[in-house]
Amino acid sequence: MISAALAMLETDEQRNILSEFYEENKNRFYSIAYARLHSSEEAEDAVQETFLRIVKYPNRFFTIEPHKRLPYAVIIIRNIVLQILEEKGKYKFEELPEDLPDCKLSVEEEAIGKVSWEELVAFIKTLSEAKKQAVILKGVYGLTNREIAGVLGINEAAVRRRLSDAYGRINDFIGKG
Amino acid sequence: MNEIQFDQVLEQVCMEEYSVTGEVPVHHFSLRHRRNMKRILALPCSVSKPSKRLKLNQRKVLILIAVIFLAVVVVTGAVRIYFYSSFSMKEHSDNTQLFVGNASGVPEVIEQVYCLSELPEGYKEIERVSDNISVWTIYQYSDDANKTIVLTQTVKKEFDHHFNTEGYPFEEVEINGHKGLFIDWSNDDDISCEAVWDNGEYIFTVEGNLSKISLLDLAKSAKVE
Repeated sequence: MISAALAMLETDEQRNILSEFYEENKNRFYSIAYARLHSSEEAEDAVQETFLRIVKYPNRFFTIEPHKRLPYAVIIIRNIVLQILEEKGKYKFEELPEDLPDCKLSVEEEAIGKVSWEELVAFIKTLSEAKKQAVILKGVYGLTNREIAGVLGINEAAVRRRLSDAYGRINDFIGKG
Repeated sequence: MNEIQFDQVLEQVCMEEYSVTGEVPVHHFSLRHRRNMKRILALPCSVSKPSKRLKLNQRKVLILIAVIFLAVVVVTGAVRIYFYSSFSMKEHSDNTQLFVGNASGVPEVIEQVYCLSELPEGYKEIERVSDNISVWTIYQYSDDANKTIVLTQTVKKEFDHHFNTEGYPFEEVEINGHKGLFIDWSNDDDISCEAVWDNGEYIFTVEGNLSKISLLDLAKSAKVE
């Protein structure tokens, strides 16, 4: 039974878009979830939870360019799958220190000429799933920390820590490049 | 490399890591999932909200009532509250929330489970989801997942449903001598309606792709198993 708070979709058009998006991709989402969870019921719950999180910020979803909506939902469902696995003791999110200093990205000053595009792409891919998700939701989708917390089901402080740690690593990589 | 280029790097990572393609097997989703998704996608206003129990003393209750009254007065036109039988009805711009104001002297947990005793021909029970406070029984016509009837039974104290009333009025009905409400969302393409009633102990809803008469007859057949 659904038990999460749910923001309401505002228009029939939004409902139609989201319904079509679900119908087009439900089997894909299920496959992603089932591949890690190996439980039909849990995989279905993960799909359901994904859409509950999407409709938390409906306007954010509907302003995303259509071709970027699928990756957005995939980020959310992969995160949900990891959270389900963590609850079962089969996955552990990295614990970052609470006093981790704020770190901002400083690509402009340091990156010029030091690392290639491909090297940076490859490096970002090596970040942990949790950090990569936060960085992409921020940088590609323009979500606020609060919104990231909402769609990832974590608190804002955890978002800040993930971003700070990821930015610090990226800055280091660029600096060393 | 500047920030715009960095965002493009991130976008490339995003598309390569999360833009999954290719054929995937077709999964036959359970009715429970389909019903929940239907509520999320098509009738989002009907989703139950989690109930919160507040421990309030009499003074806090009075203050709370005063605050709620003032809030209602202030926002008159945005939210209206009215009452029908045991139901309190809070009318929002596009949905109406139903809950029970006085739930004393009735079961606080499910003690007896009800079912629909006179199903239309071809329907059979296929799934039941239950906990201490509610029971959802799902019936399906043959193998047609688009033809379902769902009976819910909820203890009064925990009943809190939002109904899509944007353009759809409630109609007063009587079910086995008990007052209830009926709402019809049917359109040219689809028949869909729901009834809700209080049998004195529990709150029931029955929803299905049926005509009004058939749905109400069905509601009247709800009996203890």
